[in-house]
Amino acid sequence: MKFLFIMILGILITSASYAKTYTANTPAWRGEWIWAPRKANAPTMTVNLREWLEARPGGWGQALVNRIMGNAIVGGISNVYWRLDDGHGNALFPFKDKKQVLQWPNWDVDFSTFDYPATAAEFADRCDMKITFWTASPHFFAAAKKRYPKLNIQKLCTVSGNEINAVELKPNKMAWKWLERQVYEFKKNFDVTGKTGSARLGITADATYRIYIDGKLIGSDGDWWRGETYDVTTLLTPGKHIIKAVVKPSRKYSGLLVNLEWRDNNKVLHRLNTGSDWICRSIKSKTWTPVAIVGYEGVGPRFRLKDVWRNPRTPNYAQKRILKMVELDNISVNASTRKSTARNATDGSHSTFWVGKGTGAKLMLNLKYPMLLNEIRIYSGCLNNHGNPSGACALKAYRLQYHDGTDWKNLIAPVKKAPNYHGETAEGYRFCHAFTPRKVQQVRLVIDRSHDTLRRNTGVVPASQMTGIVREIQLIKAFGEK
Amino acid sequence: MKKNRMFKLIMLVMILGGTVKATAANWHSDTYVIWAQKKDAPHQATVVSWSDWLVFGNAVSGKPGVRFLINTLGAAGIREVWWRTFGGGNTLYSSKVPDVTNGNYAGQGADYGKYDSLKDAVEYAHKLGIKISAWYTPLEEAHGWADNVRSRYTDLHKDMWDRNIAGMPTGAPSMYYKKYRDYKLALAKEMLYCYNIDGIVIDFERLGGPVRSDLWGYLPPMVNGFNKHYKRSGKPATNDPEWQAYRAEYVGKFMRGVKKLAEERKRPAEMTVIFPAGKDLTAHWDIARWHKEKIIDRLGLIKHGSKWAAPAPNLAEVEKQYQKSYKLPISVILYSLQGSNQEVKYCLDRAIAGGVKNIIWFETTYLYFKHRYALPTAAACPERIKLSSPEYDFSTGGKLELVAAGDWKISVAEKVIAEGKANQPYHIKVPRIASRNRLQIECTLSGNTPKAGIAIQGLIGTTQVHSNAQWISSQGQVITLAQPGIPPFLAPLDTAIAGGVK
Repeated sequence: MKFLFIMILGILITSASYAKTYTANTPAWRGEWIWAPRKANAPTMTVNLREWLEARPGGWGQALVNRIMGNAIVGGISNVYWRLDDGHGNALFPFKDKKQVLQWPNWDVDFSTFDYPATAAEFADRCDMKITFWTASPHFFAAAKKRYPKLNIQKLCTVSGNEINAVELKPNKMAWKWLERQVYEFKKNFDVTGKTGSARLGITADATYRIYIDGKLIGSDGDWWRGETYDVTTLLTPGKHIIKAVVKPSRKYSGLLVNLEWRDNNKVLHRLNTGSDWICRSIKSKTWTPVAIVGYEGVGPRFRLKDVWRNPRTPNYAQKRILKMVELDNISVNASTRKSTARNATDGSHSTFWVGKGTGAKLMLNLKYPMLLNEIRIYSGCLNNHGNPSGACALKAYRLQYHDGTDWKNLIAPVKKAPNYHGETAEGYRFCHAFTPRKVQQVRLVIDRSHDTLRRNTGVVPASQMTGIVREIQLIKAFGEK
Repeated sequence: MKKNRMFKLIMLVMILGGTVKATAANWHSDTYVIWAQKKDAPHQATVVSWSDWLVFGNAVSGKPGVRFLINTLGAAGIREVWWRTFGGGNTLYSSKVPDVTNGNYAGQGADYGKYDSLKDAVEYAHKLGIKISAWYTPLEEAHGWADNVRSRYTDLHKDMWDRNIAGMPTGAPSMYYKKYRDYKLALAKEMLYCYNIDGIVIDFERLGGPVRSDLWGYLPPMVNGFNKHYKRSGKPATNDPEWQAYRAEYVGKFMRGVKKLAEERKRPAEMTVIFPAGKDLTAHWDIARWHKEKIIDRLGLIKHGSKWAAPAPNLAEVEKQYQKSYKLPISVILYSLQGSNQEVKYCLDRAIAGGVKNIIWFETTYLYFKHRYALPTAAACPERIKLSSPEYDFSTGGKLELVAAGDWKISVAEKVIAEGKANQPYHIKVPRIASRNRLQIECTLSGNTPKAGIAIQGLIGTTQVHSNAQWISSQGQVITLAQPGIPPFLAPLDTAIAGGVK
C-alpha cells in the first residue's frame, strides 16, 4: 500500500513537473540598441500623458512609457520634458488626494495606480536621456519634490530650441532627420580569463551588419527582426579580444544589438552586451567616440524581435572549406525583373533576396575587372524556419552563363531539375557548380523554372508570375587568383 | 438642535457623495452610450486581432486597451466580436494548457502569461450586450512563415511533423496524431470552459507558416491507410477528393471533439467555421461532411475581392449559393484593408441590398486607422433619433451631464431646456417643473460620423439618472453601444460646458 502511494505520488509530481507552459520571446534580448552619437539638431520631446491618451488611446502602464520614450530614443531624441499635471488641474502621478488625480474609471485609467514619473525616469536613465519633469501647480510641485527627491523637477517648461509634442512624433517619418545615415563601426574590447566551455553570439542590426571577433568574420545579415546566433566557442581563448561590427544604416531607424555569452570551465556564465561602454566611428573617420543608446528590446516602434538564440548560423570562419570569394564590393548587380532587389543576391545576407519573375528572368553580375573563377554557389528559395530553407520558389531549372565579349555562353550544362528543400541550414542548402577555371568579367543566371507551385491565396497565377528566389550567389576564385 | 441638523447635513453629503460614485469629473459605470438600431440593419460583427494593434502605432495594452477596442467598435453599431485567441502559435490570452506558448511582447505590455485579454474582453463586451466568440486558429503553429510567432510546441514535437508529397517534413505537426488533436482540444476546452464566451469560431483561412495545403498529409501511415481502404497503390494525387476527405477526417475528429465540448457546456456555445467560399473540401477541412454531422452552427464565408483583403462586391451572391446548399446561418466577411472607402462602401451596400444579414468586418485596425468606422455606423444606426427617459420628479429640478455623437436638444414637457453640439461634454441645469415627466432628447448625427450614441447622467430630484437600455426610442429598441469616459466618448467632464437653454 505504502509502495503504491509513493508510486502514485511520484507519478503526480512527475506529471506536474512536465505540465509546463512556455512564454514566447524569453529570455529577452539583453543590453541596449546602440548607434552613432546623436545629432545636434534633434528636438526636445514634450509629454503630456493626458494629451497622448486623448489622441492615441489604448496604451497603459510600462508599455505606454516604453512606446512614448522608445519613439523618442529610436530617432535620436534624448531630451524630454514630462508634465506632471494635465493642464486641467489633475495630477498625472500618485498624488495624496485622489480626487485631484486624473481618472477615467470606466476606462480603467487612474494615474494614482501607476507611477509614470518614476518609470519614465528609469527608462531615461537606462537610455542615457535627460528628462525634466515640470508642473506649474504649486501643490503638485511640492508633492512631487517630496515624492521624487532625486528627479529634476521644475515649475515651468523651459524648452530651448526645437521641441516636438510626443503626440506628433512619428518616428518612422522623422527619425532620419536626427540620426546619422552612414556606415558605422562599433567595437568593444574584452577579456576572457580561463578556458571557455561554450560561447554563443546573438546579434542583430538595423539594417545590415558584419560581425568580427579579432578580425575574423563571423557572419552577416540584413534583417533586424530576426537575429542570428553563432557558436564562437573556439574563438574565445583566454586573453584579450576585440568584437567589432560594421553596420549599414536603414532608411528609418538604425542600431546594433549584441548578446555575447560564454561559460568558462567552471560553468560560470559571462556576458557582454551592447551598451554605452561601446565605441564607434564612421568608416570615413579615424576617431572613435562613445555610442548613443537608441532603445532596448520591446520599446518604441521597433519591437518585434524574434526570440534570441534562434536562427543558428555557422560562423563564416568555421566553413569547412576556405573559399576565396569575389569580394562583394567588386561585383555590381543588375536584373531583368525586380531590379531594386538585385543587390540582395550579393549583400552577404540570407534574409534578403532577389525575386526573379517569370521564365527567363535574369540576374547579371559584373565584376570590376576580369577574374579567374572556378565555382559558383547559389542559395535559393525562401528562408524560413529559423535557418532552414522551406524551398518555396527555389530554382529548379536554370543556366549559368558568361559573356565572352560577343555573346553569352554556358559556363555549365543547363540545370534541368535541381532538388528542393534538404532541411539544412541556410548556408548548407545550396547548389555548387564547379567548372574549368575561366577568366570572366560578366556572369549571369537565367531562370527557366522554379519550384513555385503558382498557387496563391487568391488562386492559381499564370507562369509569367512564376517566382524564383535567389538569396545569395557567390563567385569563387580559382586557385592563384588574387 | 442646530448641531443635530448640521450632523444630518454632513451625513447626507457623505452618503450622497458615496452613492454618486462619479465625482463631478467622472462618468458613472452605470451610464451607457445609447442609440437605437435600424429596423432592417444587418447584424454586424468584427474581428479583433490584438497583436496587429501592436504593429500599428497604438500599442494597446491592458484593460484600457481592451476597453478602447470594444468601446470603439460598439460605438459604430457593431454587436459581435470575434476575439483572436492566438497570434500564430502563441496565445493572446493566459493559457495554462501544458506545452502551450503564451505570447509575450513584454515591452508592449502584452505578456499574455500575466495579462488575460480574453477575460477582460468577455467582461466588457457582455457589459455592453455585445456577443463575443473566441476566434481560434487551430492549424497555426506560426503565422505566414515558419519563424513568425512560432510555438515551442512545434520544436518540441518534431516527431509529429506532417510530411508533404515529396516526403519532406513540413514544419508543423499533423492532426493525424491523437496527442496533437488532444492538445488542440485542450485549448478549445480552456476557451469554452474558463471564459463565458458565446461561441467559438474555428478558422480555416489562417493555415500557419509554412502554410498548410493539399501538398501536406503524406505521412506514410495515412497514405497506406488510404490505399488499403480504397484498394489503391502509390501516392494519391493532391486534389483527389477521396484523398482530401480522408486527410480532412483527422481534423474532423478534432472538430467533433470541439462540438461536444461546446454542447456540453452549461450554456451551449455556438460553433462557427470560417473558410474560403468555394473551397468546401481540402486536405484540412470538409464542410459538407461536418454540416451533415451537425457539427457546424454557422458558416463564415471568406471572399477576397480583386486583391487579397480587398472587399468583394458579390457577397450577397456567395451567401445565396451557400444558403441553398447548407441552410445554416451564414456570416460573410467584408475585408476593409484594401480599396478606398468608396469601394468598401460599394461592397457593403451591395451586400445589404442583396439581402445579406450577417456581416463580419475584417478588421478593427483598418476600420480605425483608415477611418472606416463611419460605414458600420451608417449601416446600423439611424441618423436621427428621439429618445425618452423613464419618468422623474422634476419638482426640485436637477443637473445632468451629457455627451452625444450628434447635435442634440433636450425637452421636458415639450419645453426645450438645453441644446448643444456633437462630441462636446455638457453640464445641464434642469429647471423645476411641477410634475413627473420624462426627458425627451432629439439627436442628429452628422454625415460620415464613425460613431453614434448619446450618454447622459446626473440627478433629478434625488433620483440618479443614467442612460441605459431602459430608455425608449421612436426608432426601435434602445441598445447600449458603448460607455462614456472611454474613447471614442472620452468626453472628460472637466472640459464640460453649460448646455445652451433657449
